[in-house]
Amino acid sequence: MSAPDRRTIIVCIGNELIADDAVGFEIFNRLVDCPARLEFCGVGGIDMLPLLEGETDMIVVDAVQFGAEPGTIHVLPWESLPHSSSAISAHGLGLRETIEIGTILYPEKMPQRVTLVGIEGRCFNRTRDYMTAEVQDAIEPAVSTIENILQQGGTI
Amino acid sequence: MKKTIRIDPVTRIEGHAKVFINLNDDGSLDNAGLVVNELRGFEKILIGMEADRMPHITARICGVCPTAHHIAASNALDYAAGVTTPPAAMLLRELMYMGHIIHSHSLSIFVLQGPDLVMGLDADPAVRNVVGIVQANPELAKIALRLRTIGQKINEMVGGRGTHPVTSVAGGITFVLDQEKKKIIQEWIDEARALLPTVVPAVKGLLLKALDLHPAMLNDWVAPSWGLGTVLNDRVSLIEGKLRAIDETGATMLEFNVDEYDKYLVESVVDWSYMKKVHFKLDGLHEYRVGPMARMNAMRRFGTEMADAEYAEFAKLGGSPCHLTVFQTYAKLVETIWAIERADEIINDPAVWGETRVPVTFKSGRGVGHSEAPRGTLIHDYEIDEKGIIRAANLIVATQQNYAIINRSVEQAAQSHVIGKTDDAALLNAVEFSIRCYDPCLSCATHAVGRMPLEIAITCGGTTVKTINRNN
Repeated sequence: MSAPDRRTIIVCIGNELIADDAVGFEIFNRLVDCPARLEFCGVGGIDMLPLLEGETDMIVVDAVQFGAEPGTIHVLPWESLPHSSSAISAHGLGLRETIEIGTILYPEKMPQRVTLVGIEGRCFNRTRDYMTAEVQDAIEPAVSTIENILQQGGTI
Repeated sequence: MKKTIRIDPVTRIEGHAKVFINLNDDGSLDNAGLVVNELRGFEKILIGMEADRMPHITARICGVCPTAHHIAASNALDYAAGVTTPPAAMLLRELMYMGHIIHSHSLSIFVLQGPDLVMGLDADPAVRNVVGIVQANPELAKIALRLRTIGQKINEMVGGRGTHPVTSVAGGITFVLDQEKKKIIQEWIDEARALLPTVVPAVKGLLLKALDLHPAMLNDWVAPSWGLGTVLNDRVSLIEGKLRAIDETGATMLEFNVDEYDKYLVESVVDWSYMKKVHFKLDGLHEYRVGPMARMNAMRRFGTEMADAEYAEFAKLGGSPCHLTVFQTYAKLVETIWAIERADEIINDPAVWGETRVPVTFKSGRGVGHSEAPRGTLIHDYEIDEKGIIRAANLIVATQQNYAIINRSVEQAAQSHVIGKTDDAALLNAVEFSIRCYDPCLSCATHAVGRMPLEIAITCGGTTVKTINRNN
């Protein structure tokens, strides 16, 4: 794979100890040799902002629950993500809100494009051994999807 | 016939957390509570692992308070090995921890509770959110996030990794301080200190304004209860010391070492939630509170200048002990001030340059340790066999201990903002706000991106008569 001509940061999110939530971590491990800057966050949200160093593109990889079949790979520009409603704990700040905040506070550091590669999960309340089979099977295709986005210079 | 109002935030997780409000025929409150479907199996996955992996593996339980688990596990292993951790190692663990507290509290105050305080509980949810607060006050938001980043940097440098620290181990810490690192940490601390004169009045101003607008918060949202916090050398402490239990009046009822926790903290099952409630057992069962406000109720002294001065202000406004739910935010602010001052003390303490690690071998037996997590007392209890393998594990987390009080706060919010009122939005806001004051860690792992429908089902005799949805 040739190096992308745009500066891209990939942020993988997830908890490697939790069933389908571990998918971000699994993908992170498989992207170690990719030419983009690669970061891992246990929890996404606002902590992604300090990671940004003025890259033009960001790809966020995370397990999602959009109501599709488990293992579905969603590739979405951040503008099309749903708003989160108000959170009752610190765990609940969404990617969309994070990017909106970043755009207000640190416009100079924000990527021009932010793409979510979300893998639809189903099981989030059991340990790693219970990863849904369809989610497990989606890991390699998701890695290919991300590599394709990189090759296209961030376009989807 | 009884009527049930169910608020169903569901977060991103089906059946993850719901609020129910049961009304009597006359519309008065019967009872209310938060239903939690906890993550299953964490204590089980620890079984069979080498004990010395506990500080690393348990740190990954939670993306929000990993350092609390990291340190509680280390303390438990020190206990199991029967070693006295060198003073320099305890100081460096504490320094890491102060970074963690700054990081965690900044988020909780500004991002989580900020929207309620800045916009007010009655504001349109379209603006009463974190994006709204940032738009309304970008300079304060920037400072808050900078404070959070500084906390994270301290945590990361001493802990070796930001999100999931790795340096604290059985018998001490692997982090080695040198003059260059000291200089960098000192610069961060100085920068954080310099932000305080802006941050403190701003947050207090927002809180007081919110109280003006919502007198019920001051008059009705009061939850007198026992409290539990850690004390050491006649001051608040977060990673070592004795646990002190106080009653509603603030009188000390008991001080005990953490290895006796199972004599006094008793778990009980409630039929409507997966989470077990914990009561304090001493001449009967008592509901109690843990966390920033409980800590300062239990020990009204920090031993640093600015924090003690701010605590005096806190006590003047909120009482001592304080039982105002909304003052949890103020308590976090006082602790943030203290964490910055305490980090400064530690990095300039000559003892920090001493021996940082002693060798350990595990004998067969028990390891018990604790930390004061940002949200309250966290206890790790392991059974370790003669080969150093974990045979049983029990973790008592803050949210379980706060559970009874959270439910009482939900009842009070329902009473003052819900019962007899027809404003659905006010209902949702008030109940959510009362839960947010405790920042519950519902399963420590649930952050998947997705939609968070907020649903209230009002049922009467098993029939749903009305459904209110946040997204409608």
